[in-house]
Amino acid sequence: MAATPGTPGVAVPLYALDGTCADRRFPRLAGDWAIGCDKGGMLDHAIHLLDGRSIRIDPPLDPRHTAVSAGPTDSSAVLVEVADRTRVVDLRVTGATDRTEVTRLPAAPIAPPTTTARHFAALLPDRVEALAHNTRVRPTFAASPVAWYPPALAWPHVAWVERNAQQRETVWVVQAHPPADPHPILESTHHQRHVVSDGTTFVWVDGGQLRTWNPETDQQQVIPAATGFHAPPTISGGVVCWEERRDPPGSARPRADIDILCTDGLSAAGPGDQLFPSRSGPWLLYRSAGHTWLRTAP
Amino acid sequence: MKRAPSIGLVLLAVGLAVASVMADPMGSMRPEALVRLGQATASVGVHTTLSLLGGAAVLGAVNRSRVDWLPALVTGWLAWGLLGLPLAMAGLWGPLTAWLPGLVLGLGWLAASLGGRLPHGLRLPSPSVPMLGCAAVVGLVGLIDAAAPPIDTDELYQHLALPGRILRTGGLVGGVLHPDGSRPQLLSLLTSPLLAAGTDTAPRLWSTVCGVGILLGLEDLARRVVPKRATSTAVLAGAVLVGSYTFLHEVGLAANNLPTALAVLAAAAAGLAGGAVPLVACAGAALSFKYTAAGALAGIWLALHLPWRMRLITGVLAIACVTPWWARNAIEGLHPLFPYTGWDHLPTGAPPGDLVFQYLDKYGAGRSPTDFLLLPWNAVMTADVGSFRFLGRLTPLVLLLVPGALWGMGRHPDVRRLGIISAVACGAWALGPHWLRHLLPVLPILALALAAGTRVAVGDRTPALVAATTIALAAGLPSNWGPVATHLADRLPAALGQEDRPTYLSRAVRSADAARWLNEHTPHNAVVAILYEWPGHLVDRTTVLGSVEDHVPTRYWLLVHGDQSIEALRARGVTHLVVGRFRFLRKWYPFLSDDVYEAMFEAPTQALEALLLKEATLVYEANHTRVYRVVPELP
Repeated sequence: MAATPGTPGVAVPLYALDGTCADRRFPRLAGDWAIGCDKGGMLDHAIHLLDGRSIRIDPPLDPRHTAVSAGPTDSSAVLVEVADRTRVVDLRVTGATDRTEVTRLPAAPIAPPTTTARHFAALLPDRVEALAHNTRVRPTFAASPVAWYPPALAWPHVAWVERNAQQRETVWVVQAHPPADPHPILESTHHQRHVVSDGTTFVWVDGGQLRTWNPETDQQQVIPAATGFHAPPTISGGVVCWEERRDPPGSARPRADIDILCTDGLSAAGPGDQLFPSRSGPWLLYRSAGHTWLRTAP
Repeated sequence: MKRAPSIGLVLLAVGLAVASVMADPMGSMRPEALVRLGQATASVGVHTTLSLLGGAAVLGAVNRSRVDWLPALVTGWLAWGLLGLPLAMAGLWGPLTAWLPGLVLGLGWLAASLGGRLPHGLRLPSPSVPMLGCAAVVGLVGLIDAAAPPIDTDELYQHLALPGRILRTGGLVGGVLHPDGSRPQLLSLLTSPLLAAGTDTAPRLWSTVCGVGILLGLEDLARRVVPKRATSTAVLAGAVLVGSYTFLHEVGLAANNLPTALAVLAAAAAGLAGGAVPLVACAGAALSFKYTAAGALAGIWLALHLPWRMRLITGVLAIACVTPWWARNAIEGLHPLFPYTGWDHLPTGAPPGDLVFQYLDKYGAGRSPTDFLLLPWNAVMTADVGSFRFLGRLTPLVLLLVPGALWGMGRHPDVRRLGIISAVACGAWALGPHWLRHLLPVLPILALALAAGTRVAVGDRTPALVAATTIALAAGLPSNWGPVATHLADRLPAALGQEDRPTYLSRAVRSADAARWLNEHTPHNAVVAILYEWPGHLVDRTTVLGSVEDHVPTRYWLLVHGDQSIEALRARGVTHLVVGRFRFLRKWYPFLSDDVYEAMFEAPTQALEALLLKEATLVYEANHTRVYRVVPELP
């Protein structure tokens, strides 16, 4: 490691996370952890950002079927893999441990799942499943989700991407507990995609802007952004970060430079493109010039 | 009433067959798989019958003598293609009209028969029991392969994709956006009706029929060349073919190698029999299937039983059968031999640097004088089915038979002729890329030359020949049948319907999930450009580009259009891109300088990645294959 992770104002390369993952949306942050892949593209190790220690995840998890989140206790994270079987792995500084009591879903999901500290959700071809990690009760909701886009979870609300009658991608939401009918969050004339959440607020791409919605307060916000073309936005503690196409200085080609911007003013810019933002607390993980970098908010 | 017991027995067997599938509690074969296979079998049966009868009518009308099944079949194919060409060029080639040439051929036979113009009839094959055994092996391999979903790269981007595109658009495709469509398209005109009526199983079942036809044709030719030892010669030649991975792997593939080999074999048989008209038709068909037949045809032309003046005429007429395809290219402003050459003279512009369609040095075991001397040994003994080292495998039986065959050729004029054909064809093959599958057009003749020469040399010392043959054949089985058996074992559950098509394709073809996503989530009028990927046949939308050798079309587009590449595609109506995360490996091109490799391979790939970030929207990714939207308003 070139520097201690987390030093404010300094972008440090995390070479241990340079391995290409089978799902390029990894490596990602989960609480105080940065989770990355082995040479085979599977999630096999995590770095604790507070002290730099690395722990193994054995057997590795498939990033194409895995969601990560901060865990229920300090310095913990939770990883949920939903494929032919379900695995819930707790990350602590003492190591990674599999939970024994987990619920298997009736079919393989069509997109990666999503998780919070205590709940997870998955998209099956014809329905949405949302449940607590430690329960076998599975309320399901009929839906036609679009593959590849993971759902988002702000318990008890689950959001996902679906096509409307005009074949336009639209973000839908359902209240899982008590159960209610699914509905689009907001009708739009644009494609709505890449819905994510920090457990409280949903964020998604809506044409040339980002929209946020807190289902508890019904508060909405619009963030002008030229994004949604590559990686999803990321949100942590209400702070949103995203890839932004910008005009490079001195170039005739518009929007030919991609930087990462955050609503709290943190950014990752400079030579080349900065891609795949993942935000957790003060940390921003991203990739540039073939390496994975960590930048910390002042 | 005499036939009642026989009919009853057959009906009982059919009933039991249906019941055994329907009542099987293990679900060993799904009814839908059986229906698919039945549909394909019926299509191939009708197609082959119409071609055979139509070809017999053509040849019978010209020669007024008894017509052999093999030249009749190949002549029927050529006639089907030539009748279909104007329809396809007029944009009238659809699922029904694609059968129109076959209908004309069938009616032509009917008219000729009723008019008494086929007084001597059609001579059908009469295989020996051992040859039927060889044919059964080929049939079984082809049946399993054809019944499972197609996964071969060349099938997906070319031999199934092109007929599909032609059916969808109603006419021929070609040029820089469809480079493979600018090759002679006899194969596509023949397989598109099969694809339309018999699913994508039918073209591959037709290829199996070609494989069986080659074995039956070999025995017919053996009867002419070495009549007293015909069966043992044919079986020995059949063992060379069936014992070789390169032959057996092609059975059940939608590809042009086996139809070409059958047409070349028919041309050789016609040439040795002195039949000028069938020779012209079969040679023309072979060239219209694949240019790699040229070497074998040159050998036939040199060795045949015709006066030189007649040879000249037959040569010119055979070439004339291919000229419509060259003329079509020329009319469209392309080099007649595009896409093999002419990339630097396209109407869309010339790429900077030297864009080579195919690097010969990439394949085989080297091209130095020593390598050429060692080529027969290396091609048989050191070939690898999974690498660029000849891309195939032959049985060592080939080398075992060489000494005896050389001796036998010195004593028997017809065997010598087969030897000349083989030598010329092998020489031509050596000049091209060292892929063993490119040897397939002459492989049956080479096998027959080796077998016949050896039989002549060995005479009555058959026990020694059987022992030696068995040892060599058995030694080659692990490397030749092993990969075939592994391949078939993986495909058998899908062939029987136990594993459903999407699941099998998803694990066998890396871009299959992306293709399925496109089929489910894009409008029917979407136009998809395929870059560094192959799944054309699996995408049920209009597609452009896609693979040829070394992804030349994609690299051409990127080299010519530079940072306007996506805009240029958009201007041609492209709405989505399928982009593979393809990595060229430097070790594949050790013969290129760093500068050339960087400019021709690395630079366009990196330029595309940069452009995608700036100008496209990623909407799906699976298994290293991405789907981008390049028109904002479309889903």
